[in-house]
Amino acid sequence: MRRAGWWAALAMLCGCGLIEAPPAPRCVAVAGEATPPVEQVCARLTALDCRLPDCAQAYASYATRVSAAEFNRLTSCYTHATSCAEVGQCELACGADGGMVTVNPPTDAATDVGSDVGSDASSDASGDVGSDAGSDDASD
Amino acid sequence: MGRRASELLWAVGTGLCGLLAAGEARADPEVPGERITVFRVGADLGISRIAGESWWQLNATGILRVGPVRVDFAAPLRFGMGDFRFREEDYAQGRDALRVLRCARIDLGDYRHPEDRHDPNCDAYESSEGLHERVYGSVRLSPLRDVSLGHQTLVTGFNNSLDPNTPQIGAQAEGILRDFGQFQMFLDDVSAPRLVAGNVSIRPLQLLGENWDETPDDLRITAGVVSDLAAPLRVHGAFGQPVRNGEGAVQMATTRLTALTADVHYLYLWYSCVEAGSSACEATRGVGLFGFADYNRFVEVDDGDGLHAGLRFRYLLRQRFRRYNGQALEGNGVMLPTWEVDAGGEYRNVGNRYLPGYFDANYGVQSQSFALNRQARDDLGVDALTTTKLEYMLSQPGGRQSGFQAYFRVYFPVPTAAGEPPTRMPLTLWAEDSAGPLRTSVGASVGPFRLDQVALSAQIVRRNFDGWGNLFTLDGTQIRAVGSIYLSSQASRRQSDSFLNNLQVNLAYNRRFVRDDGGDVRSTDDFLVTLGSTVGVN
Repeated sequence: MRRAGWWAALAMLCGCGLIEAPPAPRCVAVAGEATPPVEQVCARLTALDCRLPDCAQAYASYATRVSAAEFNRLTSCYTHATSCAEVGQCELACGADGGMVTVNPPTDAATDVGSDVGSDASSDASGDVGSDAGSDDASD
Repeated sequence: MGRRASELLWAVGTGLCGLLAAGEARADPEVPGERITVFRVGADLGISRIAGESWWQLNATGILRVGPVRVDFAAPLRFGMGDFRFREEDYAQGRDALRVLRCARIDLGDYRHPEDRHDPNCDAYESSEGLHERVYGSVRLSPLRDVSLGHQTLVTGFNNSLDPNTPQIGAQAEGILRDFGQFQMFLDDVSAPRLVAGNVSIRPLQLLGENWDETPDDLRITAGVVSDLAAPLRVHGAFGQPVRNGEGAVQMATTRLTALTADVHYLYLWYSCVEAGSSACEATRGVGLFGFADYNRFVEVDDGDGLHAGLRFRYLLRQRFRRYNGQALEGNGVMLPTWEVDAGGEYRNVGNRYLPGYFDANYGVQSQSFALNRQARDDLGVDALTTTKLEYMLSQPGGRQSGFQAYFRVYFPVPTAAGEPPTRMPLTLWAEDSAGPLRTSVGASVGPFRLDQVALSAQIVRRNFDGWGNLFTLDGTQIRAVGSIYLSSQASRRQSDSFLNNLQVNLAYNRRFVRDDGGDVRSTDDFLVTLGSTVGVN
């Protein structure tokens, strides 16, 4: 904004105010909450019209590639988001220290495990899926 | 579906046989440039490959002209190689009807040249008499390929239709008022306009009464505007993938992004006669300098401006021609350029939130997903698939940086008929860099170029990477090429306007970017090869 003078006036004149960078992302996760199961997360995303082609697979894949703590915050954030825009902020703000979530690159093993975990998660609806999967992935 | 496809093929096949039977249409005794109405129909048959899948392709084609209005169309029908399944994606939505239009145009001025035949370029017609002798206007609707404005510092090589599943018909308009000035405009999509751009130029020296014929210099001042009415600001994502709404559209926040441009250039050529004739010089050589300065400013972005100052050496050969399109020209004919070479460099002082050539060949994809190569993906990490170009630009720290561009263009004169002006084929190469990250880009283009039996246009660009060591890799490279080859010469077609004399091979290759169902943006190699012909009355 330091040189806002002439150009800002022109921008106002043409009705095009300065574009601000998107606001700092917020992680709306609830601390201490168990990791939401895949059905709950995917149902919430669908309800917000934020659809993924294969939500269960995406959930399972991330469960193997993201640390348990971050996966917990991320999925909690998804379930408490109230709009697609908020959903989009979760990944940017639910990492360590409020930063981006750290996602490890997929491996063949991780993909296979991910598929399995997705199925388990679907059936068990367990809050421990994320941490289990994360541990498995780490040990691999 | 199979029965429907078979019936469709049978109908088109019957039509094709009908065309063959009617193959010996009357020879056209007129000079092609004199016709007022044209009606031609035909078909192309061949194969295409789209996003890894191969198809039989049949096009029902046609050309219709009434005076200055001309419409070229081609309705593509694609069938699976193995199962002969009709590709329903081609006509699944209402807007898919647009894919039938190849080129619709209204030309005021020299619209009677060249001959009406399929030309994939759909570009403005060249003048036979030089810029200053005419008033020319052209409005064209077609898929946009390699569109640039001014000195190409803001809009460079823009394409609109990168996704064959979402056909876009853009609009272009150009006008020339003798040697006083000109304008250029374009719109990316006539059915859902998003990107609009235009500029107006004047030549002050000619407005003050100077005759361009008698001066070796050219001063031009241009002002313009480019606006993306719905520039993606943030693509919403979950689990590292973009999310979509119920209709399958990627969910994103958009905003208006407008750039104002002003530029000036000055060209001075020292001419000398290199071939004296009996009544006039037959060939001249011009050597000179072309200098320009552009200032572009994104109105809504702080530190979103760029100053470009360039200097190019120019070498130009001009030759006198006394025939054009089979007709003798009056008097001493006309001097037209043949060989031309431009080579030079450009210095840039740009705000950190300004990217030179912002509206470029990749804009259709990069506006939603900036990272198209491995380096950019690594830089953006988990956010790579959802970071838009505007968002990336806004994320840069304030301040300024310097950069440069090296530029080289040569026009090759390709002989046509004896005594007639050659067709000039432009080849352009450029490379640019600046201090910031992901600011190295390179590009090359050939054409658009139209010859008796060949029409060609090609473009290759690799943008927004780091380091010259990564120059020669296909990672993040877009390549577009389109061409048509007639198997008979224009003279043969004039003597006998038959099916066989209008046989034409159409070729296209697209190495483009596609966002797959999972949200990933990857490269795909598409191509098209068809053989076809038309019959009708010119």
